[in-house]
Amino acid sequence: MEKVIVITSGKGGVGKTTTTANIGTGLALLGKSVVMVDTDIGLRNLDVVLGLENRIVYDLVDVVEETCKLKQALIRDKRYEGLYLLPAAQTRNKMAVSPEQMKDLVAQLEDEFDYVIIDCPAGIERGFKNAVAGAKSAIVVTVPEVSSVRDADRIIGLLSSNGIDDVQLLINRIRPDLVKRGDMLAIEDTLEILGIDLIGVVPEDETIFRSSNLGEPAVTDKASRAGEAYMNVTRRILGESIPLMKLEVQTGFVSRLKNLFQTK
Amino acid sequence: MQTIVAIKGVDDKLEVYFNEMASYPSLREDLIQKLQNNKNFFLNSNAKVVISGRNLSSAQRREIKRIFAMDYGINDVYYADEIKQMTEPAEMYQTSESEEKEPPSATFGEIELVSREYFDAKSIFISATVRSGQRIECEGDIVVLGDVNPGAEIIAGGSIAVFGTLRGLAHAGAGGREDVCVAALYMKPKQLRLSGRVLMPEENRKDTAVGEIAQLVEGKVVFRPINRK
Repeated sequence: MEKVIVITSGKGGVGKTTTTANIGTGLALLGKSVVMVDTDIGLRNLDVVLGLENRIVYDLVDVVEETCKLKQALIRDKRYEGLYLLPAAQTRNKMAVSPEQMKDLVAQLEDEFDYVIIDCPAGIERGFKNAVAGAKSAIVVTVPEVSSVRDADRIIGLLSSNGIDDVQLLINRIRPDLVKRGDMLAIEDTLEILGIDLIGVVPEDETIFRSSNLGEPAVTDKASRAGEAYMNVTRRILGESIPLMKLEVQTGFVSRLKNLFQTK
Repeated sequence: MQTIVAIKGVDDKLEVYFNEMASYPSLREDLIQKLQNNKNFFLNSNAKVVISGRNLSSAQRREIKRIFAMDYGINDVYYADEIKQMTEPAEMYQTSESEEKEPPSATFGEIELVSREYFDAKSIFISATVRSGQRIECEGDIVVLGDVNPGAEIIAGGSIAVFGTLRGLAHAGAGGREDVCVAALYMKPKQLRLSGRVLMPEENRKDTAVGEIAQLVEGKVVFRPINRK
């Protein structure tokens, strides 16, 4: 993975923003200087899940329109050393920024930070084009479900056309119990279709709801399995070789009893 | 019947005229036929060929030049409008510039994998997986060394061979030809079309061998394993 990573998916709602927040925070926890960039102009969310929304004065569009300097728009997260956010605008739309402007902006950020993590909006139009403009590598987020995988495939093709071939997959919200029953795509099935390297698998985890609502990314929660998985992904980005988490189905006595009475 | 390709010998030149109303594929076929019929005359004749008539794209022009050069050893092939440009040095530079501006996909022999591109090639060879949203189309055969993912479209006037898993849409004989087939190592297409007939294979076809061919036999689509007589 390069220093400038775009987190994309095609499909909406699969966890790009959550992934951006967690990877960004994870990298900062491991001592790196990170800026997370929200390119979802008009529907900004990254600031919300980080708990930084009430600190926004200037945003990405202000920087690009030169209403303010880049430094003025960057929000320093006081909880974690080295973690910064460049928020999107909420009252504008995606035509307010062009890919060329994004490229220049990202080049500036690259000089100042160890890592630039770009949160891409859903879709393949202008928002996507803006987000990938400055990126050198990508993490494609997908859930193990057919429409998401279809969109991920499309995105991988588009990334390649845009010159980004360092692309890795993150399978999010996996439910081992459903996979076991055959109701959800297994990791192998997803990899077979998409054919790119896997950077990690994050299990479905209720703690994510709490993290988003409280503005505290799951990586900071020791009890969160998803947080642990995201930390593993962060370490892999830094080049460490971490085996995939064991996502076994919990088989206590009660659930085994339940299984006896369940019909397929 | 109107002449599609006219070839005349004038002085030390061979003047070739492409009928402006004819389609490029028919022009090419007629030219090949005519050259073939008089093979002894054309082969290594060192003639200078000047082509006029129907305006051809750069890719098409290159293909015609290839036919003369590779099959008949005739390398002196010019297009009437090119000659005019060549006599003026300033315009010669313009020609090479405009060639550079041309998108890579117009280059014969170089396969640029882009969406919705029409290739003026007789056949296409792709050594990558075709992803969702990508459409590969040509009037001849198409070979894919990789998978064809769901949401991808392979449209061929001729046959299609997939050295991988075919999960997307494949249409062989898209121009009406019936002597075509679709072959794949793992035949799991969302939809198969043969010479205009649409087939929706049942989900999770059982007992599929590795290496299958789909063909039209008496109007019906039939699957059979490759390598079985």
